[in-house]
Amino acid sequence: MNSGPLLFLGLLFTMACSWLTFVMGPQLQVGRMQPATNLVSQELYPNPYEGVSGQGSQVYRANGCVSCHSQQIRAKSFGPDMAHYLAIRPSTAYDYLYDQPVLLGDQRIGPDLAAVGLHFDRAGLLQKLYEPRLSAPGSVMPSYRYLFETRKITFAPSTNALALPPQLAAPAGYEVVPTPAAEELAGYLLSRRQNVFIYFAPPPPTNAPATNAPVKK
Amino acid sequence: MTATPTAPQPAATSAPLDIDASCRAPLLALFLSAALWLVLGTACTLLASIKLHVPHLLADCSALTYGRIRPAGLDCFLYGFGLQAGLGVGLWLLCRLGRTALLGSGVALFGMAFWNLGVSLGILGILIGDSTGYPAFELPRYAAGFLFFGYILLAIPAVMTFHARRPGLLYPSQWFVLGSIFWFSWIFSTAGMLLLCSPVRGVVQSSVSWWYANNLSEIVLGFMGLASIFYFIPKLVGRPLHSAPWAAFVFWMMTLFGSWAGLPEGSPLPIWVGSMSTVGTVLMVVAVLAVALNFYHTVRLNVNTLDADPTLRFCYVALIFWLIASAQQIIGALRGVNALTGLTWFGVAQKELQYYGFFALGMFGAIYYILPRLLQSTWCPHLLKAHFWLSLLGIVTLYLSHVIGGVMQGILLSEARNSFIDVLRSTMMAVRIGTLGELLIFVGALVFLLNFVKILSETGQRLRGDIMGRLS
Repeated sequence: MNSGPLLFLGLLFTMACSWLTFVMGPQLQVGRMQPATNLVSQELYPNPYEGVSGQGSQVYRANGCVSCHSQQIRAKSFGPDMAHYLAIRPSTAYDYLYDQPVLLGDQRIGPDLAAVGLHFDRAGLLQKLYEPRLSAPGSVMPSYRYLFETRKITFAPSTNALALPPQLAAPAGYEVVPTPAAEELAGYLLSRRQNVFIYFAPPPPTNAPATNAPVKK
Repeated sequence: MTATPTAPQPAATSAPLDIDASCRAPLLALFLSAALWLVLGTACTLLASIKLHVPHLLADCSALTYGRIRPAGLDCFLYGFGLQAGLGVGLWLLCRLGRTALLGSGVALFGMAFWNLGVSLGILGILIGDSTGYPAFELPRYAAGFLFFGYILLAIPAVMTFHARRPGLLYPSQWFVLGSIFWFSWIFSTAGMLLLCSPVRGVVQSSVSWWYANNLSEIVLGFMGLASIFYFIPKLVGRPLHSAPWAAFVFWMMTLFGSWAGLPEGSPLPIWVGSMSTVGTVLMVVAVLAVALNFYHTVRLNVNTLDADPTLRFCYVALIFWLIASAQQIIGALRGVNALTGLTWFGVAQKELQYYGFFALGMFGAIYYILPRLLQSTWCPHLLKAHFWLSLLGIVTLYLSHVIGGVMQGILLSEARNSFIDVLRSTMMAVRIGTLGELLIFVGALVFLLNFVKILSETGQRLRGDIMGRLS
């Protein structure tokens, strides 16, 4: 190992092995993946037209939510992810087909958000973003006050205003309303459901008899 | 693989003094900016850590929210401190081991300026919300261009200097430096192209970003740290490296299989990706054993040498932390362990040990050796000692608290009846002790910067005195 060119060729080879395996390999297999078929409705999954939730993913990215929240439900053999995060099925590659960027996450300081949209409504999510410790005492999630605006009630209270307990409520004559960024983020989180059954993530087996015979009515 | 296992000896032809003179300007600039980024980075991660105690702290300021300040701090460390210190040490090693003066030092200075511009833009970008979101690759696209250009300008002098080396056997540190430089240009351009310029679709992004993050920490920073350890330990102990072929074996095992690590099983990627990654990680066992045995036979547990030289002390500790961090990575990749500890603080602890424990200490050791020779001056020994102990205690506290917190979190979460928020409450205490470690590391970085400024100002005063003496 004394010649510069040989060293370079060796590095080129080992690098190429790693690159071909972990960059080229997945690209060849799932890089040109097409949407799957929803086993129930026979529609295509995922739906590329998500509207406001697409902008919300940029709010999610910009504020580094991925530092504390993963978005991947592992199969039962990797622990009770589905029970903890109330997901219906493990995540598949299809669930991320139109995500940009794809943020699977490396760490769970907070709970996984892959199926968060199944268990919250918009008002609950917005309240959680404003003050996480209202619904989860002891949470270490930051309060995203900068995504909200305290403004004077001019004519009539806004329909969007947060319902807050007295200790957090805005002063009389004022109200706390979410900014567009908060609305988009909530829309994005509500779209995180991963509840569509596809071929690679079929519904759990039921107690139906194991036969193809038509069901008698 | 015929390198004779001798400790590197500079030849009489290109005296160390000339070599050091040729390196002076670019290395001083690289090391000083690295020290500044280190202080900034550790301050940011300290603030992020404090926010886990007081979530209300500075909650109104979007730039300082946890999700921005934590990646910003890590990127300050990786790109501001890590690559600059690593390239500085790498350039010096290439000069010393090639027994030649640094070529293209002006180009290197230009490259450093571009690199720092890129890092500054990138950190500001993360703070204003332009982070890409990919782990260890958060710097936005407009910063990546400057970084890449600056990097190429820094790599050209390295390749030129290597090419101009005097004939003779290559020493392992030279392979490691060149491997690291080559690797970074490839992984950075791949990640830039496939994540930022024309993003790949779906989960392939995760594959690319995990591959990048692992190669940055294991190969790029790992090889720079190993280059320093492989050079300084035999040199300062005064014994030849036990076996150069073993070192070559480690080198090729790491490039071939160490570069596979870091893609966890259980993710939505195709199953074979995680399995291949685990196989590669486990194969690193032989590399770790070969490094341990090589240094065991080189040093022969000659504990008396431990206090002989501050550089040696830093390098010993860095070596031990590398062994622990690598062992933890191998154990953590095993399927049963990964099912428990995946996505907990366990993995964070491994990265922190690799970054702060192994890489940073290896670089400190090298800088403590190189800088006095560039300036023909000496460090303040008290500050140096304080830096060593602060860093060591800080890293041990941080690492242990996060490992314990991570294992606890994993075990508690493996029971479906423990709710997530209860587990969070019961493990946060262990994790919060880590803040003390972050604080010690930050103070250590400050002490390092202080010592740096001190040696610079003393040299400046001495030079002024010399000039005045000559004038009068």
